[in-house]
Amino acid sequence: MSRSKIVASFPRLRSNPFYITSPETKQYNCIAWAAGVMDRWWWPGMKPFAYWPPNVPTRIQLDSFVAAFRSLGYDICDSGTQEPRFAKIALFVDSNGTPTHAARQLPSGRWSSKLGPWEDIDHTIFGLEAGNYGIVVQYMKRPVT
Amino acid sequence: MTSLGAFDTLRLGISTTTQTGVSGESTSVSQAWESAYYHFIAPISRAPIATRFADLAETWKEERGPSSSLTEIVLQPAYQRIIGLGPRVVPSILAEMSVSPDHWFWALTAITGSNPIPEEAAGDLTAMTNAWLDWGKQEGLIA
Repeated sequence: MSRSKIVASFPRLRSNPFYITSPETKQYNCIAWAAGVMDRWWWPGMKPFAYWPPNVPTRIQLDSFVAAFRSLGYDICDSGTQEPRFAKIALFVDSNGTPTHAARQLPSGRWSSKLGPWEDIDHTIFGLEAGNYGIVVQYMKRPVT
Repeated sequence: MTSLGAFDTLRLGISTTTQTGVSGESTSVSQAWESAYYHFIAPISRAPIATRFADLAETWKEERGPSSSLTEIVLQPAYQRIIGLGPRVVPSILAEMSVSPDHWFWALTAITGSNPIPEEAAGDLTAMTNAWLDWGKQEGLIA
């Protein structure tokens, strides 16, 4: 997808640098990418058209996404501030409180997101907020092994 | 009835030529007439199914934007209209999938009532695509 279309969906990226870091692909989405998976599309309640971890609630609400990442060893935390020896993810919701997106923190402290069927980008949380994905309402972390 | 070729010539002649002495109002009327005429001789409802699918698929890819929500993606209006085209569109979907895999699985199941995707392939675009292409071959819908 062109940079201009990405910026049109996330207007703050116009003044916050971002970098496209992968080719466009429909093999995986943001939730899978945040979970470290690149060969599945993750989404609750859409089996078999999408993957969702077993024994995790399938309603499209924040608790289901928190539970999905808990199943991967993440626990909720207060902020996206980088912490040594911890990996973090951020969960976005829209104005209705419906989950829309997940991003994962990079070793640099910046964040990486798969934009639906588009590319992965390297960005700041502020840069991606207030666009198509709404805002971050939950951070989660797990120890880096 | 006027052929599409002749119409296109007429349409291009009016739309792209700067005409001295033609007012803005007259140009607007001409363009409205052209649009109405075009929709009369070539409405989407009379277009071949493959053309309608291609148009709607293109619209769907625009509509879904950067959404990760498969629920939202399959509820886009163009995607629902493709489902509404019924069994006749299945060969077009399978042909499209064979060259450009995408999330057509919901539509295929909605139209055909079949689901050839094995449980272990859930969410795996390549495996799901292969399962549907195998199904299409078994049903004689694609070569």
